[in-house]
Parts: sequence; C-alpha cells; structure tokens
Amino acid sequence: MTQRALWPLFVALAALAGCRGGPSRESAASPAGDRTVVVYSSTDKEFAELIFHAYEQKTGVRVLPLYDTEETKTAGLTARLVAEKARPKADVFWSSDTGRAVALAEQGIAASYASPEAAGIPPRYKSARGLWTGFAARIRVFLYNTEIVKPSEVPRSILDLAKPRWKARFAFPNPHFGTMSFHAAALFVRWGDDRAAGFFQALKANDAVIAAGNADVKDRVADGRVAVGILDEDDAVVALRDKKPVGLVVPDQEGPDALGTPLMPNAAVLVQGAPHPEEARRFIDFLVSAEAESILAASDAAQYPLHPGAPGPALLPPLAGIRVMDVDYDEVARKLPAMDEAMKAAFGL
Amino acid sequence: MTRPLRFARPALVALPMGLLLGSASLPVLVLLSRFRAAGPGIDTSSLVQTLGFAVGGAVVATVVGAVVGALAGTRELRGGKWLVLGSCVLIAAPPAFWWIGATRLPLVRWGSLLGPTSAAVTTGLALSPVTLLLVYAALREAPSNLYEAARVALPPVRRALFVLLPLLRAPLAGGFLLTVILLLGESEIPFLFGFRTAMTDIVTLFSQTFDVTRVLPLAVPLLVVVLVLGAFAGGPLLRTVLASSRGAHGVVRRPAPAILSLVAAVPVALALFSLGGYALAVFSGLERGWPRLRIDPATVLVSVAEPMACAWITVVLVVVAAYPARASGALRWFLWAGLLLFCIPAAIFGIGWIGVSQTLGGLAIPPGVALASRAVGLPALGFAIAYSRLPRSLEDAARLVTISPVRRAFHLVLPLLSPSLVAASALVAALTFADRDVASLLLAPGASRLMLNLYLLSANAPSATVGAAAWVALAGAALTVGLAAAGPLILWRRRG
Repeated sequence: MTQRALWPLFVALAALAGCRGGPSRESAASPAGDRTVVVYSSTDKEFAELIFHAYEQKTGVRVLPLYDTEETKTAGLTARLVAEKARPKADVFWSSDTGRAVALAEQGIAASYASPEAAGIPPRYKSARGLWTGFAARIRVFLYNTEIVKPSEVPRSILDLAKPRWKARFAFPNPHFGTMSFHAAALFVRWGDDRAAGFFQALKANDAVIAAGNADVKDRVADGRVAVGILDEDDAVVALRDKKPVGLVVPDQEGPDALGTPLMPNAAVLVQGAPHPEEARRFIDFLVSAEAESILAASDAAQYPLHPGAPGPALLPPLAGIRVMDVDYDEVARKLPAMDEAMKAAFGL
Repeated sequence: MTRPLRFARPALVALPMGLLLGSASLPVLVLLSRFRAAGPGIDTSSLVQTLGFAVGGAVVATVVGAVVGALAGTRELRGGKWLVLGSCVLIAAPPAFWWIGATRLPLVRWGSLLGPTSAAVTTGLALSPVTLLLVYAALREAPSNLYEAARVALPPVRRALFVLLPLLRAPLAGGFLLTVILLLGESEIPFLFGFRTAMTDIVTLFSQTFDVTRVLPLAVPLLVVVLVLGAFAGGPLLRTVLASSRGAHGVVRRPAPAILSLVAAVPVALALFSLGGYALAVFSGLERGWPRLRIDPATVLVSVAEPMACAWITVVLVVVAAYPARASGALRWFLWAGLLLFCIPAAIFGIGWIGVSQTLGGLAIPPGVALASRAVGLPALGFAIAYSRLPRSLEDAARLVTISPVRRAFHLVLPLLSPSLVAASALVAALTFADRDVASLLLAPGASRLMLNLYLLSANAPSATVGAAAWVALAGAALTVGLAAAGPLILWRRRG
C-alpha cells in the first residue's frame, strides 16, 4: 500500500480518537431530542450491561454508562457525583447498595421521583420522599472452600469468625467500600457502636484477611487462599457456576434470636439537575420494573426481585425462607461515617 | 551530542522543547501549587512497606533480567532473538494482566501467593525485560577485544565477576532504579495481593473524596521519592542508551548449550503461562457455550486509535521541538526532564490532570492527553539515541544538498533516525493502550477502553469471558503497536 493510500486511514483513526477520546460529546449541553441517558453504575459491568442492552433494544435510547472499579465500589462514583454537584454530568445513579443513595439524597444530589413501575415494591425498600428506589436485592453469604472445610464445620454466624478456629482463615472485602460497608454499618445499627467496633477489632485480632472486593474474596476462597469468605451472593454464584470447589451458606439463620443476613437492594437515584431529566425518568421506570428484575434474577447476577411473585435466582434458596436482618436503610446510611472511622481505627485502612 | 549549531542561539533552539516539556509538566505543577492549600504535614505511613515491595521486586527483576540479558548478549542461544523479543511482550501489558492470566491455570496452589513478598516476585519477573534490554544493549556496545581477552584469560565465574559486572554497572543500576520507580507507581498488584502501598492509599483516598488537594499529603512524599530515584537513574540510563557509535564494538557471541536457552526463557515462560491461562479459561468455558463478551466496535476502534494518535502526535511534536536543539547541550537536559516526567506514576498524573481540568472550569481531558504528556520523554530519548549514532559526515553531506532546511530534515536526516522513532512511537502507544489507572479517572460516561474493560470484567465475569476479553485486548494491543510504528515509517521513510 502506498503512503498516499495509507494517510486517509490514519487520519480517520486519529480523528476518531479525538472525537471519542474525551467526554466532550457526552458532557456538552444536550440539544432537545437527544436520545441518550448518562448512567453512573456501581453494579458490575457484566450485569449492568444486560439491563443497558435490553433498554437500548426496547427504546432506541443510547445508555452512556460509567462504572466503578472493584476496589472503590460505589464510594468512587458517590464522591464523583458530589464533586460534580454544581455541574452534573450524570442523569441516573444506579447504586449497588442503598447506603450511598441515601447519603446522596441527604447531600441534595438526588431529585425526587416516584416511579409508577415501583408501585409493587414494598415501601421499606423506597425513600418516602421518592429520592431513591430500591430494586433487585442481594444478600450476604459465606462462601467456603469444600476442599478445606467440611459442610458440618462451616461457620453459621459472623460471630464464629472471631473464634480461634478461623484465625487467619477468613476474608472479607475492604469495609470502606461497596456492600461490605453496608454490612458493617448495618451491624453498627443493630448492635450499637461499641459492640460493633469491638467485634471488628476481634476480627482484626483473629487475623482477618481484607480483600480488595467481593470478587477478590471469591477468588481467594476458590483458590484455597482462605477457607471462608463473606461476600455477596452474586459473586458466590459466579464461583459455583465456574465449578470451583466451593459451597454457600446463608449466615445467622439459626435460633429464634438469629441476627439474619443483610438484604441489600440496588437503588435508582435521579440526579438533581440531570442533563436529560425525561430520559432519566424513563430509564428509572425500566430499571425498577419487574422486567429488569427478572433479567437480573435469571442472569449470573442472581439478584432477588422485590416485586412480589417474581421468580428468584435458580441456584439460591427462595427469599421467603431467608431470615433478613431488620434494619432501617436510612439509619444504615447515616451510620456509614461512624463505621468508616471505626474501621480506620481497627484495621488502619 | 555537543556539536555547536551554526545558525541559532542555544536559548532559541531550546525554546520549543522547553515549551513542550513545560506543557507536559502542567499537572505536576498544579499538584505542587495546591500543596500549600493541603495544609501542613505529609503522610508517609505506607511508604516503608511500599519501598520494601518496590525494592524487593526490583531485585528480582534485576537478577533475572541481568542473567537473561547477559546470556542473550554473550552466547548464541537457540532462538535467542525470539527469546529477547518474547520477553519484551511482558512490557506491553501491566504486571496485573500477566498475573490475572496465570491465576486462571489450575496448576499452581495460589494459596501460598499472598502479600508483598509474593507480589515482589511476580512483578519482578514481569518487569525483568527492563533490565534485560538495557544489559543486552550494553553488551552490544561493549568493547569486543576486552571481553575476548577475558574469555581467554579467565574462568567463567571470575570473568563474570571481574569483567562482565563492571561492564554492566550502568545498565544494572539504571534497570534496578527504573524498576523500583515503576513498582512505586503500581496500584493494581498490591490490590490483588492484598496489601497497601502509598499508591493504593492515594487511589483509595481520591476515589473516596474526588478531592485533589486531600491526596497531596500522600502523593507529594511519593512524588519526591520517585523524582529523587529518577535523578539517580538518569545518569546510568543515559550512559547505557547513548553509547558511542557501534563500529567494531559488541561482544562476540559464542555457541551455548541448550540448558542456557532454557534459563533465558524464564520471562517468556511467564508470558506463555499467562496467555495459556487466558486460553484455558476460554476453552474450559465452551461447554457453557461461547463466552458472552459484548464488544462495542466503537470501543475497539477508540482503544486502538487513541494510543496510535497519541504516539504519532507525541513523536512529531518531540521531533519538531528537539530537531533545532539536536546539536545543543540543552538536549541532554531535556532528556533528564523527560525521564523524570516518565518516573511519575500514571495515576498521579491523572489526578494532576483532573486538577488542571478543575482549574480550567471542568474542561474535559482525554486520557490519551494525560498519558502522552507523561511519556513525552520516550520519543525524546529515541530521537537522542538515533542522533547520537548518526555519523556526522552524513549530516554534513546532507547540508551540501541545495534544498530548504525543512526539506533537508524531512527527506534526508529524519529518515536516518526513523528506526528509533518507530520504537519510541510503538512504546508510547503500548503504554497508552495498557493503561487502566488514568482511564478509570478521566474517561467520560459512555466511553470505554479494552484494557479497562478487562479489569472491570475480571471482577465478576465468568473466567471464559475474562479470557476472551484478554485475547481481544491483546489483539488490540498488537494492532495498536503496529499502526503506531507505521506512522514514523511513513512520515520519514527514505525516498529516492
């Protein structure tokens, strides 16, 4: 190929890089009729794409997503939304837990929107003022390596992890981020600050392994680096479907006073001052619908629908048979700063 | 390097390069200017562990790189060129990429590999080609008579200790320090191996706050350490790569037994091990059907086009800026400045560019701009290496041709420098393509990159999908490097 023949190709590629390299097309003021919606999503890309693809197919509206990395789950995008408060770029925040959604609502970053599609979702999973809407929930589970731990020896409660038997043999994700931060804050709400902080100090003294995220916990258990891990059930399902030597147990289910396991809905938030408010509302309608919940339940995301009667994930026990930790989601969100400080003190993270 | 120019003042010829490097330094200057606002105090709590990890990894990298480089440079190994080229593949992707691939193989009990020590060994192997290439290059410039005399007079161990090691002092020191610097900027590997470093603290804190000023107490000590190390590394690195014209130099390579070829294949083995892991992940998942990997064609195009465009633009800008200063002593200072910029971790550069963006009222900065500004020293080094090897008689002969200075530069001089510029362009493109830190900080909603996709998928996607994503990313990297290398070749090809 001659030099003259090659130049147009290279110039075209360079121009393309210039056009798509930066955020100019997305961040520019959108003209009327712009068929895009900007979604910040702390849900794993693999699963969020299922919903985005389905929505694009159904409506023709283009979804422009921005994801968190695994190590900075949810907190990264929350901080970004706060930083962009004066000039919002996002239309919708799809949070993988309610804690950060409540925090955003309290900082005036969430706009009120009560989606008609969420009418069937129980009120306890929604903001009373319409500032966030819960949908498609996950639970916290134990994943254990079946080559190291017999089913009869698996811990049944998170309290068991403070016992000498599990010293340096268990892992959980960095408690400053993602659903682990929700789990930790929920314990602070249920037990009070002193008891919860004492529990985490006991875990630290028992040589807890702090992993980068839920997926990292899954890998460590599957590879046998630790015997047991605390993580979300969707990460556990990935290991099960990859036929790793692992088993799954829902913790804190036994006895009349059992604590129960946290149920953590995703949360949809309409961003205050969203550049595409109408498209944002329509996207939220789809996101919280039974249709979207069914997609997430049937996929590897394995999330429990909150619409009554919708079928749950195939590999997991039905939600009706699981004792769920009784917490107020707003209260859990308000506990996040105190929990963060206690974790810094306990683990030096 | 020090031939005086006839037509221009030193200050004038240095101006374009000064402006270019000044612009590239903008994010660092913004960070430092905000350091006062950050309040008193610096946080060095994780610096000791960070240095332990970085120095440990660099020791492994230097030992492995030195042994393999010395073998490839002094012995006629079976497939020696392929072993060196295959080792270079490791530099085309970050250590985490190779680690994630290797962990897909069920051959090793990964349970024993955790913490800074395991991380140092892994990253040391992955970065060993840095020292390997420097040692290999140095041996090709070494005085052949000296080494031949040592071969006759000394047994192998004494020859290695008293002749080879002193000959390789500069590349070993340069390789060691450069590897320490690269590891100080590493954040993904510590996350994967479950320990904290200054870089993971910076990334974590910035993600929690999105506040440039608040990370400065952590970032500034790290910045000072890498710049001091960079200043120490500059001398040996420049001595190694700017050696005098080859002429009759270079160690004569003698035939070697097959076992030495196996020893030299250690870095290649890591690459094959990891690629095998990704391939196995794809094939083992086939029973569940073909991996569900959504590939947006626009993402593939931009992932290839952006690094390519950045590499070309950087190389052209550096050539335009450095050419007038080619015979001036200022060029060496620019090389130092460029090297120091490259020593700054990519994530800190990204945070600095966010600071610039905030100062300019939220102006969007594409990741490629941030990465190219960090890598601007590499084409400058490529230019200087090539020019230092250009016989003066050739340039003098070119001056006798009655054409304009610009046409002379483009048609006669620069084509002679193009091999080094091709290598520099390819390296800038490879580094930009492989980035994950800056992309995750600066990418706009809706935009994506193949390498960032791979990391996002590696969190939760099935192994088969991760394996497929890795192979797509590798294919993209190969295409990117090829296209980036073609730019200088086309622009400055020999004519007539």
